[in-house]
Amino acid sequence: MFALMPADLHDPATLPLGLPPRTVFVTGKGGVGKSTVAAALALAYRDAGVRTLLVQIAGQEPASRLLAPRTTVGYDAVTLAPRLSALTIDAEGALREYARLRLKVRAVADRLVGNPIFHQFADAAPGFRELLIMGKLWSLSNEEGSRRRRKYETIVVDAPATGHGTALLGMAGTVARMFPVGPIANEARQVDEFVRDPERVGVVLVSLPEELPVTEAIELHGRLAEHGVSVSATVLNGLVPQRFDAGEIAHLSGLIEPDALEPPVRACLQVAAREHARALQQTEERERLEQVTGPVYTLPLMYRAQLTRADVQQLAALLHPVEQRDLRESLA
Amino acid sequence: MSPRVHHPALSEEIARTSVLLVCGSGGVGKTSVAAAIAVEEALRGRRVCVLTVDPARRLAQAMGLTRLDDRERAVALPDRPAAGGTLTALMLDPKRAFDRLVEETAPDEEQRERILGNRIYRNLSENAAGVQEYMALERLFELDRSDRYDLLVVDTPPAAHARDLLEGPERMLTFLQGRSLRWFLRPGARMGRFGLKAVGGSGGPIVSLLQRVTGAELLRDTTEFFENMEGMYELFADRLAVVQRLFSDERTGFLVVTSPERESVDQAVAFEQLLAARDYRSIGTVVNRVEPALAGGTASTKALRDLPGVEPALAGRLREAQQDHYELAQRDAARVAELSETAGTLTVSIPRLSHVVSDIAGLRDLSAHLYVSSETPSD
Repeated sequence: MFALMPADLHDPATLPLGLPPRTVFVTGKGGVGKSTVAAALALAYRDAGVRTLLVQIAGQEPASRLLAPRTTVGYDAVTLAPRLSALTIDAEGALREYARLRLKVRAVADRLVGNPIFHQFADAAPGFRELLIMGKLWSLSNEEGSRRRRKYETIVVDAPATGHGTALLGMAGTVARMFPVGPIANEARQVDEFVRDPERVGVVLVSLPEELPVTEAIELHGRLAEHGVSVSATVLNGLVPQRFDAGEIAHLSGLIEPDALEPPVRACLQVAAREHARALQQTEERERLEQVTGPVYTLPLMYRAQLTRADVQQLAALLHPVEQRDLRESLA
Repeated sequence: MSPRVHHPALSEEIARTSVLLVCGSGGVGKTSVAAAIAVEEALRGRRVCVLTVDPARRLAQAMGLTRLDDRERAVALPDRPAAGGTLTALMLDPKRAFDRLVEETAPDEEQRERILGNRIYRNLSENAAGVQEYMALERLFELDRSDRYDLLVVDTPPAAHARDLLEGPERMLTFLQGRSLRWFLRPGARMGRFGLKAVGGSGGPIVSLLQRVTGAELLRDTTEFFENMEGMYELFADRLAVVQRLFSDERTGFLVVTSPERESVDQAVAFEQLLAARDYRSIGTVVNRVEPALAGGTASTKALRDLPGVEPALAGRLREAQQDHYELAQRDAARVAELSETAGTLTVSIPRLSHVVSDIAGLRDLSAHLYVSSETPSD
């Protein structure tokens, strides 16, 4: 007879990206499919039996829409499915919550937050808004649910795509160094320790298998390292399938030459050749990225105008560790 | 929008433009499009300067820009240009540009040092919203006034939203003005005419609440910053007003670049509407990396199986590739049509090139698509 496994324990080998439950930041430049990866990752954790919260930051297309197109997700958590909730953090809400926390009296705090002086200050003070968003994430990660368990075991954050991509993760350290004393400094130090603790925080880097995005991902990887933040996993999104081998392409290209081909057949062979060239190029880019990040997870290019929940589910399955996937496939 | 509007070719529009702002959300290939146009126009005999903030490194190298040093640098052209044609490129460093602006506009050395040394300022010039945009426009204004170029091409700063180009500088100014904060925090104001209001009125308690939330040190730096900016705000605002007049000038044109991705298209449409609302001249929308349509329909599995040396399995995979490609091409064609309809501007597609644009030859492939003479909306 064996004891019940505590609900908070999971075998990493069975978890998405091999990453134990924690706060996971999904980062990357704009246009690389960050929100899709965040939504798929949240779904993957949920499917693995982990109590999961998907967090999106206001001002960008909400990732939750991929999972529940008709649900509006605000500052308070909304349940999307069993073990899966979502919420949207906006700077205004985080400001209010922080002021209430510090000033204790709700009415007094609301008076401050309602005053334009406070907003002006929040605009001017370096990293103030980012810091409060991070503070909110920190407190979410410690929130207690029923039976003294953590309310959320994993929090997947669809981090905003900023110019440098490090604003959210690196800001606390910068602020702590700039203003070493005072309440903001304490908050900043606490957040900075949190962000740099690989036991509590994971960072997932998302990129596309193209030259510029890969270069930018490598730069982002370096900048995060400068802030003492290490990348836990890298996801390369939008890979075209490698359907043909070099021999086949050589043979097909030989067929294109003579003029006897009907136009549709000719066009089809050209498509194959182009796709093959693109697949080769993306292999090169993948290798270049892997030299810096180690092995990457890959997601296929989805030939769709609009992703459905079923598509995201399919992507979620691909985020499981490779060994686990092989096992499942061999069982199937 | 009427689908039958006649649009002149992009090349004609560019020919009668002397300030060209290439706009769009990040990652759509704005820099390449801006550079391609600059090269082409120089070859056609104009004196061109391309202004860029954060170009892809390899492209920068191709254009001979190795350093972010804020200087105008001559770029070697791939062919002999028509008489008089020259190409210059300038890679803007917003932080340096801001420092320089402070150095030029601060009334005295003391104030200058106070501003440059302030912790809020040091952070602001790198991170605050609109600073890059403001600085790019500042520089544009200077170059335009110099009269040394026939065409200025601006590769607008990488931003989450295309509208940041128009709204960012205004946001920066509103912020610098620091109206409410300055009112209550200025030590002079507290003792002077408004003293009663600040201390006894609504301001005093708010400031002390603010201090409890932020700490004295941060609040002091912020106050100091706004004090130091006193008098400089008006200067910045005047300069921006001049640049905004340049925006509505008829020799200024906006070119919107987008990818066929949903979010990018939505932003492009919203931006075109913003341009129209402000009565700025849009010369067109470029949809970059479009999957080309299949020429002559789809091939049947049978036709593919009949090819010499093609096994049924290979024919099957060819069919799959064709089908996936078809879906993508259909999607992209629908997005292009949607753009030309809703934005109401000339829409030019550039197919996804099989290679990365990393040198001047690659740029010329791009301009070949941009300068197609017969472009009209596809309906």
